[in-house]
Amino acid sequence: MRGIRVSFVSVLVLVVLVAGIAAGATSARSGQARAQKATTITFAHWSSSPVELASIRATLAAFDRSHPSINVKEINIDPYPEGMLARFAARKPPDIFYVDSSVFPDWASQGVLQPIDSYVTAQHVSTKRFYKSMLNAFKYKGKLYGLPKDWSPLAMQVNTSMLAKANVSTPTTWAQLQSAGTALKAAGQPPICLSIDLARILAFMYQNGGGFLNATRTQAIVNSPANQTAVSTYINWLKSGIAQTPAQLGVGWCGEALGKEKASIIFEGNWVTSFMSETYPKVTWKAVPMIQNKSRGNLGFTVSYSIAKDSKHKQAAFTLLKYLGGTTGMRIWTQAVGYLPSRSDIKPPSGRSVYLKEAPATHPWQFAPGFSKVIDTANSELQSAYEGKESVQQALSNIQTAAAAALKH
Amino acid sequence: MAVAAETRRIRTRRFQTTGSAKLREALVGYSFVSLPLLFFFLFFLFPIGYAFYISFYDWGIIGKLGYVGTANYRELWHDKLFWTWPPARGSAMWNTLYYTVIVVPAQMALGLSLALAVNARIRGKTFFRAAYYFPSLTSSAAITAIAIYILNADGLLNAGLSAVQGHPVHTAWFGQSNTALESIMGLNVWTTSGTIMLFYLATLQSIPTDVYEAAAIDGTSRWRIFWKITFPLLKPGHFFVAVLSIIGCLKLFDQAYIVSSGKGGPAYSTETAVLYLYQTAIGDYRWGYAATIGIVLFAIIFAITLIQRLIFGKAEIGY
Repeated sequence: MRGIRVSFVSVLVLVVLVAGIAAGATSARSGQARAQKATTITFAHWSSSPVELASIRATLAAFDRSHPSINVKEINIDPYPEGMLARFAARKPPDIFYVDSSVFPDWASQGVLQPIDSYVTAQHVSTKRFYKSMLNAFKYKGKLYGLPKDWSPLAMQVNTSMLAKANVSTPTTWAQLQSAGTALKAAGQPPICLSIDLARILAFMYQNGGGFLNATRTQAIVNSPANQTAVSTYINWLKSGIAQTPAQLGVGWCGEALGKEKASIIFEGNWVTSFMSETYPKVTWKAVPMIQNKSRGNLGFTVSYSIAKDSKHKQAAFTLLKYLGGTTGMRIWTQAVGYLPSRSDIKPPSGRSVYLKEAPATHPWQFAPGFSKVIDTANSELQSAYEGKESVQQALSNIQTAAAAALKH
Repeated sequence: MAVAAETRRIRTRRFQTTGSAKLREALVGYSFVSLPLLFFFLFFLFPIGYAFYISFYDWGIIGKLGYVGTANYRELWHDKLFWTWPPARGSAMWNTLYYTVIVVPAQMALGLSLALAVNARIRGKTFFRAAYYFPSLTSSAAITAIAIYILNADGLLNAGLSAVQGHPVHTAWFGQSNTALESIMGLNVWTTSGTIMLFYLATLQSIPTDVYEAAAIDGTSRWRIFWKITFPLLKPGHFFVAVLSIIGCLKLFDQAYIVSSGKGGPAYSTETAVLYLYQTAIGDYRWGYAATIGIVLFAIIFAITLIQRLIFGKAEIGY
């Protein structure tokens, strides 16, 4: 009996003890949570490939490890601008998200983006190491609205064995390109691939000393003799048969023509690198500096991380922005995905340095608010000129009119 | 029977004692239609009214930027991308009308001939009915995506043409402005013919057989029977199909969007009225102006339907 009573008491003590420890542990855990009080922010992006999505998640996981007080909820939006518009209109946008340089003027002028100058100053974030033209792509009326996450200029990609077969050395000027094209054609090698696309032709306009808008983006300068020469030369390469359009070659874009060995020379960006190694690893090709004429001239495509004006967690969102735009975040991101860092203090992924040398001659692919339809108009006018329905001068004059009308709105 | 009659009598008596049977019936009826009607107001009438309202505003992503009166309508009147005078290919409205003028008769002719074929007393007509209707079941986006491959410069169509003509053909059907919209026309005539066949088939089968018997007694030729009996008696079918087909053509969007990646190219050839509306709203964030385009398009479609109604008269016929 005695023994049983002792054991009964000891069991009771044990139960109390266990309960006490458990209670203590619970209170300790809730105390820990109280001290951290994690903020949850939403990060919206698009992703053009599984590799890109995995790289985004890897970068955010690294942020998560070093910033336990901020939880990042990541959403992949597709189609991107449409999906974001619905969220802006509902006044429930993600806290931090991608902004393409070409839609940036629209979004900034519509007032859906948060200027980040005050955060940059207060937290002593240096923007000096960003490539200037890429950083400036996210300034509107003197205010900064985001940091470029990465970028790519155009370059020239050549099929080395085709050039060797035609006994052609890599061209660096328009004149050399013309003779290279002629030699390739004579040797029965595939042609140069040129798209009737302002996002390619504008680079040639810059190389000839032309352009689209003046430096302050208040006036259209499309209808100039420099542009006329550039467009005529471009179209003549196509008409003489030394170059062909993707439509003529039966491909969606010139990168596909390089991969399918239907083109010997193309003008595309760094996105060709992973496309070729993943889809057409056997093709022998290399990227070389962009062609030039009177001067160097190139187009740069970039995307920012920006914060929503309607965000309720701007401070936390800026912490993430600072991390992603800083050396650690950008290094993880660019190395994982193979894109070009927008900061000069980070080394590019291997084999990409040729693109970075284009930085000084690069203008961002960006116009003014309400220019989406002007770009469509420009492409249709250039196509009409190419098809011989109107003169190059008429096409440029029509684009000029459309651009001037859009600037007035 | 007697029991049924008895219950009916009792019920009727109860209705009479508790109030107006008509009112009750009306209440039951209205409560049944109230829910669909609610959706109709919420998702149809209200958006139309709201679109009319915002067509007088400069309207951005997050709302009103300012009242502009009729400025949007005046701008649309002078918008060369929307319409031009004299009519010319390239502007959204003339592209759409050109498309409609070609596609509607082609669709109706093909649909009617398919209906006549499958209405004949032939072996396996159920199979043919299903086979002809099949393209209509497939999503137009999927058909267009596959057509892009077939009509590619290196595609199946060119391979076939090369074999027939004996020399290589490399026409980029969707890549040049003088064949892009026409290719979409061909695609849509084929896709929608099944649905139109179905409508015509229903009308064909509603034609009473005694008129044909009378014609057979008179020894009328088949050709005469078709033009003098079948074709005129299909009048309700013609009206219905023409209205649907014209409205469908004026709303052309998905194929043009997919073929040109939403740009309306090459050289404005696939720029349709609805695609232009979409570009204005989603590309340029000018929702007020886009609403104006929508209202004008609505007015045009409404007017065309009214005119058709006048031409065809009342779509009823006496035998």
